[in-house]
Amino acid sequence: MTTMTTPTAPAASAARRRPVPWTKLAWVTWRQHRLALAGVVALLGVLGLYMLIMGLKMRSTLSSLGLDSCHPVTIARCSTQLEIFHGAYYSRAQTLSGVLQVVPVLIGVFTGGPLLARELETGTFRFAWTQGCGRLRWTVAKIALIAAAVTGAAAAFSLLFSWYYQPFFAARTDSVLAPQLFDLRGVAFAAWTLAAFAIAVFAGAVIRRVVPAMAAALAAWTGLDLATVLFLRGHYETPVVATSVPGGNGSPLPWVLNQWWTGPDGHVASPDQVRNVLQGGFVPRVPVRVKGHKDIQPVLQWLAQHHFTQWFSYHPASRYWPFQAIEGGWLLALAVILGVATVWLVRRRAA
Amino acid sequence: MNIIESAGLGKRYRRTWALRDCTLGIPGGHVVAVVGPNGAGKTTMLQMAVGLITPTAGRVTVLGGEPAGSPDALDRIAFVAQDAPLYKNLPAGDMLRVARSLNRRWDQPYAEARLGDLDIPLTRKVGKLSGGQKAQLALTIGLARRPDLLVLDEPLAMLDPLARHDFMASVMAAVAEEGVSVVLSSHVLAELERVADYLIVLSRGRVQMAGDVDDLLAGHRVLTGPAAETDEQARRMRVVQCRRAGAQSHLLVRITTPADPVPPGWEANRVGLEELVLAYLRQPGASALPGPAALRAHPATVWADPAAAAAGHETAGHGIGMQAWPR
Amino acid sequence: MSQPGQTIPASPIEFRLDPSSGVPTYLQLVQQVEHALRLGYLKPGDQLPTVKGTVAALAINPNTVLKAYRELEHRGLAAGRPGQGTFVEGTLGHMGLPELAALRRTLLTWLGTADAAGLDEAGIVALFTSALRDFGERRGEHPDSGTGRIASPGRRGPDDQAEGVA
Repeated sequence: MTTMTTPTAPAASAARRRPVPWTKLAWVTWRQHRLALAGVVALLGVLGLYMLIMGLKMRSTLSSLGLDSCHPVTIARCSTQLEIFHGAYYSRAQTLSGVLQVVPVLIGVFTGGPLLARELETGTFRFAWTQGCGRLRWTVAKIALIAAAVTGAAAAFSLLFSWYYQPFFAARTDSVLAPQLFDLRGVAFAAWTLAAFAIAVFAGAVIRRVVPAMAAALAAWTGLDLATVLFLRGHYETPVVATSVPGGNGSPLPWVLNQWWTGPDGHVASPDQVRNVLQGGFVPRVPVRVKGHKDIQPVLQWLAQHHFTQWFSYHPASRYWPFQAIEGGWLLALAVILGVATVWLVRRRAA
Repeated sequence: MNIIESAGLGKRYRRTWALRDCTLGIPGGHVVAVVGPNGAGKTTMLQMAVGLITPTAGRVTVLGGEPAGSPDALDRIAFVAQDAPLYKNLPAGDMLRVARSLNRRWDQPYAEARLGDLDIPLTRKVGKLSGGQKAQLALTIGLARRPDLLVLDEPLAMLDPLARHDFMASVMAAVAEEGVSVVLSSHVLAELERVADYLIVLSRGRVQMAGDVDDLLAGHRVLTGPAAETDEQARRMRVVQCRRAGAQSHLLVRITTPADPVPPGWEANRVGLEELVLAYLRQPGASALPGPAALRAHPATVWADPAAAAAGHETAGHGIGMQAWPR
Repeated sequence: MSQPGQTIPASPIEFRLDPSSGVPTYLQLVQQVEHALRLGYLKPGDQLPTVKGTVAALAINPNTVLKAYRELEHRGLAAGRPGQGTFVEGTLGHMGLPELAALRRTLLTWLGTADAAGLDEAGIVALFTSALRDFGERRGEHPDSGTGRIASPGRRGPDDQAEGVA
């Protein structure tokens, strides 16, 4: 009787040298995360369907109001119809764009948070990381594939949103650079989704528990988003400082950051000073409502007569794509850095 | 070939060493039992061997010199962690497919046949399987990878007696059929006595005993005799444990060969494995480790750590030395 | 682990295990084979249980079974055929009936003496066991690893574990 021998299969050693193919890893990723991905599709699908229906309705309203024949649509003779159009759809559009603000972070956190954290929390990483393909390839495949999926879905969605919102841009209702619209369009929406995903994955690798990681990622992304909208984005380029802003005669609206008055001496006038000058002799006529805005021309004329100058700092609409590129660029860089950091953490993670 | 080899292996978490000074040369072709109390360092040691944990000190190689955790090592070692972690929401069939997709070597017909024999339906979710079924599924996945080494961390802890028996029967059948080497850990020695032919005992993060079971048993005996002569006899022998009553005492001693003379008036009996292990566990200062000769018998090793070689191991005829750890 | 409907194992016997007997597992298997031979369950040419089957039923190390079969080969009782299994070869040596009868008579006389001296059954067994061990050692043969069991290479003796003298 022979003692036990360990068999070596020659064919198997050849098989070993070929690394596990990405298609197989793709199936594993899909199978493990198909629920989350389906959730993303469902969410975007529902919202997308709504936008599709509303967008078609808006366009049919535009033509039924006869606004199709207005070129541009802001000309005076069409103003009443435009008013009707706005009344019917604008508030809904604003609500929608408010709701859509949270979509990137929801997608990112719910797909990225559990990616590594659930494995680490439940201990299944002890299974996954001891399989033949190794932990690095497994991690990279998961991150890359899901990142591509959510980014692609987000990009497609933002195209749909742009189409939906087009009538309002044409009507010069909003600036393309307006804070809550800018990050829903162009590359920004996809970039913010990717960044949310990367933050959530990284948080998962660090915190190693699903719910805390998701919460931390949500907080971090929200902080980053607020910081960008309130502060960072305005400084991508030096704002134009002038005494008047473009727009109002049919050209695209700029993004006005700030406006202030300077007094006769050339220095910035505080609101109190302005008020004093007005109270000193300005007699307001009954404000006439034109186009829904109070007529402020008499006020401006009075202040101008008293050598007060109004200043604006703004970004013209032409800076839309450069800003998109900048924002998309640094968000992408952030996502890449976090991805690399995540892989590095996985590599040295000591169980 | 040494299936697992370590030199001064250690792992520290914050301020405590989970494992320390672990120097082993575990031969392949055996069923190796790693036993010790909870917290002794068994899981740490096994997880370092499969590449899940990086050592703080020393190094470990597997399968005759492969670095632990290297792609080749991952290919050829199948690991089942404690509680057999698997994806709870996946049906068993998909779990097989996941394993198939993550490994280069995979025997699908074998896996399916095994699950069929065990009455585990492929459509049932892993979370709905019983403890024994889940363990068997994890074992099936491990074996279907056709590994050279199977490492099982406390595989029996959550299983009822029937499941335990069936699980070990499966493992032994695989050893008989495939010739796979097995390393398994437990804090209950009794469960592993029948299956292990190589034993490693860990206690408080250190290796206390390591060696072939037959050699360990042949190298010890219990002498029973008059209590009055105890000290005199103990001086002449290497005593592991002494239990003394009024008139009678038992000495568990190390012997060099089975033909060592029995003192007149004393009776010699063989030691049971559990009795032997317990005696050593109760004497933290005692150890039974393979001497340098036995380790050198597996030439894949190059011992860079002179302390390991110079630690004063005695070389016995069948390769077991005895050393007193500093208290 | 055989269930109705599965193929009947090719061996006439199946092994069982007594974990509390103190006898090493492989020796238990050897003893069971010898016992089966003695009682006629096994005849020369019969196949012994396969390693795999035994291991699957008893959950023991395959090396243990291999060791038992090596010991049986050593005692001339079995032989392995490559690719087929292990088969019974020789038989346990027989003593002639008159010799056995004579030995039995001597034993009964001795038992009478022991009984008269006040030794009870357990005392007789203990005395016999230790004398057996001494006898084996004096003959210069290695005591096997087992309580009082002596294996004699080159001698085919009757099973010499004290099983009770009744």
